[in-house]
Amino acid sequence: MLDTARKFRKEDISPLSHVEALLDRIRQSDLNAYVTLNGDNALVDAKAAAQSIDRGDEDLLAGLAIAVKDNISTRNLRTTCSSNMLRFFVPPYDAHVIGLLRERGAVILGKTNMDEFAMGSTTTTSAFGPTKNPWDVTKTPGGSSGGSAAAVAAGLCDGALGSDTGGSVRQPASFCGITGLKPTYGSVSRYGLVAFASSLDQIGPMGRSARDVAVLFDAIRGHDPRDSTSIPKRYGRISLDGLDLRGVRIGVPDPFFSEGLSRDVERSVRFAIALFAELGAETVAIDLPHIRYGVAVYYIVATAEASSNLARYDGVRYGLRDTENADLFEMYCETRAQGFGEEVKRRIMLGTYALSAGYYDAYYRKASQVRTLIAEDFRRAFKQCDMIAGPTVPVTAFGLDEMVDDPLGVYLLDTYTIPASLAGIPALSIPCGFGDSGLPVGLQLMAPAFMDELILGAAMTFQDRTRFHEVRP
Amino acid sequence: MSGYEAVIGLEVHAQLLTGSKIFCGCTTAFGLSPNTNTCPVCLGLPGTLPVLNREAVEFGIRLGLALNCTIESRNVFARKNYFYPDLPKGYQITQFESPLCTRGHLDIESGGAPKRIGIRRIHMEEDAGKNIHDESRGRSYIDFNRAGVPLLEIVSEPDMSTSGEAVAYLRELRLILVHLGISDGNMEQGSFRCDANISVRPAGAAGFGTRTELKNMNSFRNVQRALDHEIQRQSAIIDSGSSVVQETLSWNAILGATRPMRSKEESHDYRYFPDPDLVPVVIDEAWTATVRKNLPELPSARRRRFMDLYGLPTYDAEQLTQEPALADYYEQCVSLLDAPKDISNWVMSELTRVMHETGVDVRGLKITPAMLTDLISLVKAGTVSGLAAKDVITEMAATGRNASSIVEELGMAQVSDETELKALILGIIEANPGQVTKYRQGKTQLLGFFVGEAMKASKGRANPKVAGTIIRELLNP
Amino acid sequence: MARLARLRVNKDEVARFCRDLSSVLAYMDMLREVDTGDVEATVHVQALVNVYREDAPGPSLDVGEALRNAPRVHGNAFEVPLVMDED
Repeated sequence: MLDTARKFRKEDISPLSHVEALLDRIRQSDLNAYVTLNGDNALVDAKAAAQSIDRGDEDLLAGLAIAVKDNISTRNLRTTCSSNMLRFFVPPYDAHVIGLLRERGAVILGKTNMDEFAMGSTTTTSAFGPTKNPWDVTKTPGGSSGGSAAAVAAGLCDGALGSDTGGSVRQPASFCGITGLKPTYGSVSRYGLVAFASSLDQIGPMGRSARDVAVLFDAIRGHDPRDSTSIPKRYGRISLDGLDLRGVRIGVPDPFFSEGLSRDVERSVRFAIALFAELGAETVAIDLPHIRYGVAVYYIVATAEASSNLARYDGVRYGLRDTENADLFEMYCETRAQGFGEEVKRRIMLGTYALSAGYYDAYYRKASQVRTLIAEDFRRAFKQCDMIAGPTVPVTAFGLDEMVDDPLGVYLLDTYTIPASLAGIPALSIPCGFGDSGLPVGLQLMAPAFMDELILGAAMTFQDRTRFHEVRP
Repeated sequence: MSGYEAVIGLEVHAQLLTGSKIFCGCTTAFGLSPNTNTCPVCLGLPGTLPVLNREAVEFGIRLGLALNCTIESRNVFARKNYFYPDLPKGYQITQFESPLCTRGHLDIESGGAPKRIGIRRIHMEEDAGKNIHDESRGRSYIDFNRAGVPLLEIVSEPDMSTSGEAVAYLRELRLILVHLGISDGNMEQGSFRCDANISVRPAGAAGFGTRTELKNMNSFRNVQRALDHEIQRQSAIIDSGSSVVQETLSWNAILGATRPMRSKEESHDYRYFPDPDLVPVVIDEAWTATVRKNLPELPSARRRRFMDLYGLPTYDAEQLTQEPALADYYEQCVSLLDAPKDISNWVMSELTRVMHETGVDVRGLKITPAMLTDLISLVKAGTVSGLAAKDVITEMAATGRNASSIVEELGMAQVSDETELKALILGIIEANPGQVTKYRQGKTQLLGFFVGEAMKASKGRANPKVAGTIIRELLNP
Repeated sequence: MARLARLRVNKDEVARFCRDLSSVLAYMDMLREVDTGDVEATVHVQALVNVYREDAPGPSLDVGEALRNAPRVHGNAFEVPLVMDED
């Protein structure tokens, strides 16, 4: 992104031709990364950006083309969450982060494909067909921000926004060999992000390098009075210098290196950690004793919140409606049966169950208590280290048709990403090598709340010394 | 009734007079054209989030203090999940486990004696939209203007035993809401809504019978009728040996009967959980103390003060404090003219009359307290007769002109001048020799006839007292 | 559960969902072994309290925009099949 920004100013390329070229590439691509293109408006915005650059605008973001996950509300531009339910939904308002990007002169290129309502890890639950992994089109790009990840990896945008609830930015970043950040909870406004699990959702920047991600993060973070969970903190300009790793303590958690972790993934991750040590960091073995309950906690809390968040899709005010019915109850049931795919229905029912009378204490309340214990595990660990490193996902990208009948198996793939979501701490995935099949491997870095810049800085230093993030599919 | 007593608890929902809705910036104004007062938040569009209106909390604290409640220093919002077309998000944001206020009371009069009704809790929540039904087309139409208007729900303990007590409670609660300036208490428009829970048991018994829930009572009179009807109904059921079924009943004012309502949810499983989109409300002592310090005078205190300070009877005190603005008006009058009973009479009768006739409330009156006291002074001084003053006040209400100028212009000044009256009366005496004779023979009640004639001849301007005195003098040499 | 969530499921789906949900729920049961005692449940990961807006009315959506995505409209209202019960 920085290169492109420089080229705009040296007049090697104009924002307009840059956006035109991207739109062409997208139209010719069969990765199915995009649901809706913002064609005409993108060109108008590109022209405006060109003019402002001519006038001396130094904003790095001016004219850069950003892909936006289709669960982020864009005014007058269809926002579907890759669901039949919202196939034709056009919002009358922009998400907070979209307003910020527009202000900075960025160009919204289009809306990217995702798992329906952000529920999934493969982008195969989309109502618009799966997105393919640019490294191997028979493989999944990961999910739920699969479209954004594929678009970044395949050069179909300059940067992208995804959303992360239990790993939905980091896991596809890992599968597609790019960099993706789940920020500290509350540092990016959720106003305009279609809610999946309110206490976990965050919009996350995705790009081809940690610096690109930092530039995007810089634009979207900050307090929003329209989001009650938005932290009232002021941020300075983000640093693009790498972190000096000398003396930095990196925690390596035992539970993240146990059975289930693929050999080739472990190899690349351990290599990366060793490189950090070479660059001056100190590694410390740490334990996170309650981490193994993370998936169970997540799938109770997230589905419970989701079952409530998705109750608004009733066909009354917007979205799909089954119009055959003269009876209101039937209308609700048919509309929701047709509008939602199987995974969404499964999670709604699970969530409804977890909250229902007689089960609330055993499931929702209990899970929320274990969540506190997990957060405390991290707090204790961060007394012994400055950041934690480990694999993002136990495996590399698998086949699009695999694991269709094994929902629990898919859920378990989120084992390493879920804990940071539960604790609300920042977590970043960067490419650190390739697996046996030649597919990318992701390294995950986690830091205490509000230390997003620490792990971004460490990643910049790592990327200054390695080339993994520069390899293209 | 056959020896049963009723056990009644009431749930009141009061719409708040905040400027904007509880979780978004739309106005709370009533009566706007459908769906012209909505935004992405109160429509429940995907991606929107609620942000709490601080004024709603302030109003809640105010009411809690007025009802002697404990203000819960840390309270939380919860989601009440159910499906209904007027509920945009598929859940209502309310308070479940930790409400804003708990454990208060409200005192009423029951059969001449004071009775304390417990208040179990007060909490904040959002209102839903409005449904209009069109049975002929088999359709309903939803207007979301009302969705998101702030509500306070006030739940009483089941301490009321008669419909009379229930209505007394509602009247006083409504008055408190109005005096605190937090709601306009309008049952017809729906800013003050009431549901009842009622059961019966043998008089003096300890346990509770099965209770039913009564809804759709849209006036105090209907509350009374509905409760009496239900007490009858339940008593009759028990007398006949059956059991009362626990159900929700809707009151039909036209038929004067209840009918069972089909439940909104098959099972009332609302799956309450703390709303992750809203953070806790923590109220410190400083805030509560400020609200307490600025608390307007409560109706019961104001009534007491009117009775003690101005020597007014209970009835007057109650009438004058029906509306805070009226009570303020009254007190301004008294500060200008030390005649509290006279002023009370005038306010309750003539001033009220002209307000009705000109269709304004006390705030819209053209007659200021100074103008009213002026008029009353003129009457007391004998310048205008009481009768004529009624016409003067009507004119004042219509034109906004002061009493003196109207009296002068219409020549209504009361004639008290003895010379003038004497001349007039002499003429009447001359014209009615027969009556004069009868009077002198002992029919002294004919005084009234002569005074009447004097009033007629003077077009109502004669001072009847003075005239009467003169007539007596002249007829009794 | 489907009824409570207003989801229509046919017979095959019921079987499949039961199977999937059972295996997931069985997995969740592992939480029973955790001693949570008096631990406070997490509702929010940050310790924010008292987030308010001032009581100032602001602009609303134009009625056309409010109704734009409505499946069925009658005049300026959202139209639905007759609601059988009224509160």
